This record gives sequence, structure tokens and C-alpha cells, in this order.
Amino acid sequence: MKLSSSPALAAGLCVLLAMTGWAAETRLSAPVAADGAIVIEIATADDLDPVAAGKAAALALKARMGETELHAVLVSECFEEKELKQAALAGIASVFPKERIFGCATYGSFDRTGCHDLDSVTLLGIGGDGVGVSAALTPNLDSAALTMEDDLELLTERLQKGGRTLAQDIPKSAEDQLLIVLADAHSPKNQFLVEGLQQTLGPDFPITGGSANKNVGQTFVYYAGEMYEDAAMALMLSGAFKVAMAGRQAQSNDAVISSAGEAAAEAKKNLGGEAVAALAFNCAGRKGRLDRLEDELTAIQDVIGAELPLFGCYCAGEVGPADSAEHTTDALSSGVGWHIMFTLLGR
Amino acid sequence: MILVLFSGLVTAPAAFAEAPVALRVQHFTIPPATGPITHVLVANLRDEPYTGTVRLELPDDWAWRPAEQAVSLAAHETKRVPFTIERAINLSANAYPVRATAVGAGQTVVREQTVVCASAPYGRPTIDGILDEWDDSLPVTFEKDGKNTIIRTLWNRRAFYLAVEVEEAAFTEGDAIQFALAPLNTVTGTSPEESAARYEFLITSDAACYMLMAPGMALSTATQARALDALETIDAEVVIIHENGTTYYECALPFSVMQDIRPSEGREFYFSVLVHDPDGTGIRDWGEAAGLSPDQRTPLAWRLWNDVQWGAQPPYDSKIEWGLCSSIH
Repeated sequence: MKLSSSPALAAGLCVLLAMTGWAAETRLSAPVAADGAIVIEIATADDLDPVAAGKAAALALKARMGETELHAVLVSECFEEKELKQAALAGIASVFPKERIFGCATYGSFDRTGCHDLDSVTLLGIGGDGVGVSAALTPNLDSAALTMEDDLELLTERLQKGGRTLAQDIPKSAEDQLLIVLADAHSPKNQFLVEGLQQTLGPDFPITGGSANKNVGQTFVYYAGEMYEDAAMALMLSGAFKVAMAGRQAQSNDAVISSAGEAAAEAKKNLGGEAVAALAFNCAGRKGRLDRLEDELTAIQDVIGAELPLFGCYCAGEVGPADSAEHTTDALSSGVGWHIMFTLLGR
Repeated sequence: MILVLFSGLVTAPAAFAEAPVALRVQHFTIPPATGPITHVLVANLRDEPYTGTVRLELPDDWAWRPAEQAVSLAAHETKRVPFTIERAINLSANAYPVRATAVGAGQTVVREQTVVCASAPYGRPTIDGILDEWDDSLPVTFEKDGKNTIIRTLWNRRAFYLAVEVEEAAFTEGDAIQFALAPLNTVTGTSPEESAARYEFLITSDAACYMLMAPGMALSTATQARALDALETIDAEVVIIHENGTTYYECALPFSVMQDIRPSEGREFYFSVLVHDPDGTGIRDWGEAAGLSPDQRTPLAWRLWNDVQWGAQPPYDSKIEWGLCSSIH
């Protein structure tokens, strides 16, 4: 069954019925052109009416994307009830095809224009023939009810399996550069999910992402416009571009601000080229330690500039290079908390 | 080398005066398994500088760093010495044995405590006096004269929720819950001429909720008992039920009346509770159970109301660390 409404794109959706459940995998874009355009834009809307917020953000994103066809939209929304979240998705889907909508519930977002808290929607749009996007979902992690204290062994097994399955199922190519994973896996559980991903992708493959808002009644992952609980989804980005990642952890106002700038600076140095966009999966706990929310954003923009498209969201766990003595792994990415995971995409 | 040992709630003013420093391990403001930074408060009790090291010991199977920290204090200075928890296990009992040791000035000072996770998880309980929706809270229990008090807190972006279970034979007119919240890094002034930095509330036996103090009010008002009927009640939901030897207070307090405290996951602030049980244990003070030192008693930290009197000693300071965190289940 083809997804695309455009004859220029070839996309396919496979729904697999596996022995232990089912998974969805989707290739959302055609094979990339080596010198094709990479268009990444971000738009945000704040509105007590979630439908209005979703629609306004989507219209703004569509305007910024211009003539570029959208491969995928990544959603970070912060509404307090399931019905309101559903409404926000409906608002987005009134502009973009549902099958292109992915993301999760978060604790708020930030972009180049500012920070956004309750009753907001931030969208990351990915398009252009220079970037490929595929997606996969593991809908049943069977781990949300398990605790580290009582179910460590089972939790480890299920989340590693979930990560492994997700990485196995996502359509891959020789030009894969970055995996973005969003999941119901509050830190420190997210480490097990990442280990599972790395059992398939290898320890050096760049993985970033965040854990969904874990507040009661608010934990949802979005895949093809639908809401899932106790799930994990991923987007694989491919193309002729570079990725540079850095992670920093902090728990006090001053350290949160300075570490955000440090992470941005390290990523910028490692990129060594012109950045196209920035991703920042940030800890909700760091947000709570800030006297002024915007101070951390200022520190980031002092490094990358105020015009670079920036998609940031506050999560219940972060994936990327760990800034922690407790994580002694050689793997590039870990699942941790209290971090800002900063990724620059560029050429 | 002189060894000075303080354990739990045993506070001996003379002993405190002999030791060069006073130690207190601060309570966790988020569940320890999430890897918070915890702090040891080190107060130099002398008229001269202090130089030493501070070591923290946490429960078995936990990992933290560093093992010890160097500390230098000016005369009568207090510092928060940080230790990062890298691996921990949340306990359902919410009670964690810890030990802090300071070595310096020719003495070793040891403080053993039981700390708690003093935090309000995200939640949305219905205020009906029945605490069946409070399973997601992190109960803090303390005892006075054989009677238990349990403090529970929850929050969401619109309200702060407090439930207090008071073990008492009877619920009478003078029973009340007095509690205070203040932004982080504020202090209780030492002079009546200074201004308050706290929001202080009182829930009375008729389920009314009064605001006793707000930031900016003169601290002198704290020592001037005010009749409640001269105060305005605030728009808080309150239900009180007494049954089977326990009084259950349940309250939802809108954050709109506490503009200086911005609700967000990870937010730290100050909070404390006094339980008024005049026909039983008298005043039950979370500050005492939390491990504050005797010099932290102050009549400026809580407001007198009606005919309440503090007795021989005023209560402990109302500014004790507390936090807001994500739902724990």
C-alpha cells in the first residue's frame, strides 16, 4: 500500500504480523540525491485550543518548507490530557498527511524563537531530495508497568528486545546517518532500549532522541498520526550529510546554562562544516532548575547563532553521548537523564 | 582527634557548640534512582575559618561521586557540598540511612540521618478526603510522642496538592495544619524589620484555608497573633475526614496564589508543615524530624494565629528542601 500522494515519491508501508506482536516500518522518501537539498524547518504554536495550536504550527511549517515536499514531521507537544493531545494531532493532520506525523508527548519545547511550555506544539519538518527518511514503530514494549527496583531483569530483556526489533525493522540504506528514537522509557530505563538498538546498528552508529513525558495520563508516542502507549518509534535519516553530537549533564541553574553552550560548541567543532539544523533532546529536570527558561536557549544560540533551525524538546530521558562517569561504555550513544543531547546536521 | 557523633534526631545544644561544624544531609528532591545531586550542609560554628574534608556515605549498592570533598568555610559560613548520585534504588518506605563525616580542625564530626525523598510527583487527585488517589505520592512519615504524621504532596501545572494524615485520638476545634512554601535560595530573615519570602497557609478544623503570610510582608507580623476572622480565606479546595484514629487533611492549592513558584518538573523550593494537635501531642514540626539544628528555630518562620503559642521554644525554620517531579509510576 503506497503512502505517497505524489507520483515523484515512492513509498511503501509494510505491516508485519510477528509471532510476538506486530511492527510497522515505513520508507517515507525516495532514494536520496547526493547533491540534493536538505530542508529542515521548525515551527511552533502556543494556544489553549490544541486543534488551533496543531494547525497553526503545521501551517507555519508548511510555509517555511515552501515548495519542498515533506517526508516527515516530528511532533513535540505539551498538552495535559489525552483528549487534548489527540486534538493537537488532529490539528496537524488537517494540514499534513497523517502518515507523515511522528513524535511524542514532551514537557515542552524550544526553537530559535523561544521556549514553549504548556499548551504548545513544536514541529520539525524534514524534506528535500538530499535527505531520506524511514520510520519504524515497536508498539508493545511491555515495559511501562515494570520498575527498576522489582523487575530489572525482565525490564532489561524487554527493552533490549524492543530496541533490537526497532532497529531491525526500520528500512535502512547505505547512506544512513542518524537514528532519532522517541520512546516510553524514562531514564534510566532508556539505556536498555539503546543497548537493544546498538545490538543491531552497532555501538558507533549515531543515535539521539528522548523519552516521552512520563506524567500520569500523558505518556504517548506518535506514529503515522496515531497515539501509542508503552511504545518506541524511530526515524532514520540518510543522505550525504554529516552529523556531530555532544552531550552534557547538569542539575543547577548555572551549570544547565553553561553545559548547553558547551554541548553546542563541541558539536559545532566536531561538525567542521556548515550546519543545516540542530536537534536538542533536553531533560525536563534541567528545565526545572532554570531560573529563567530562556537563559539556556541563549547559551545555545550564542554558539550556533539565532537563525539556524533548532528543534529542542524537554524529555524524561535523553539519548546521545553520555557525560557521566557511571557510563563507561565505548558506545557513541547511551540512554541517560539530566542531559542535553545536542546534534548538528550539516555538510 | 576528637570524634563527635550525632545520630538521627538527637540534638544536644552543648554538643553542637563543641563541634567545629554542624552537618546535615539534605533530603532528595527527586527520586534517587534518577541520579540527582545531593548536598551536605556544612555549617562552621566557630569564630574562625574552617578547613576540612566532607565524606558522604549512602545506602549499600548505590554509587556516588566523589567519595569526599574538600571544604573551606569562613567564620560562621554554611556551604552546600554536592555529591552526584550515579546509581541508586528507590525504596517504597521512602527512608534512606545516610552518614556524613567532616574531618577538620582536629576533630571528626559524624552525622547519621535518615533522609527521605521530599518531592511531589505529578498527579491530579480529587479532593474528597479519601486518599485512594495518592498512591503515586512519596509519603514522608515522622513521629512525635508515639503518634505518626504522614505528609504527601502532588502537583500539576495548576495546583499544589497536600495530604496530611494525623494519627490522633480525636479531631477537635483547635486542630489545624500550617504549612509554608518559598522559592529556592530565599532565607528567613533574622530581624522583624525584614520582609518575608514565603507563602504560608493555615487549614483549620472547619476546612477553611487562610493565607497567613506572603512574600513582602513584614516579618514582624509573624510574632503578632492575628485573629483568623480578620484574614481572608483563599480559593483552595479542602476536605477533612476523621476516622479510625486518624485525621485526613486533603487540600488543593492553586499555583496562582504563589506566583514566585513556577511549577515544573525538577523545580526545587522550600516547604514545611506544622501540625497543631493541642489536645494531644501539641505541635508536630517537620523541621524537627527533617534534622534541622537547634539554631534554626526562629519565631519569624511561622505566623502566630488566634491564641496559638509556640511554647518554650519556637518552631524550626519553615524552609526545608522539597521538589516537584514527574509521576513515579
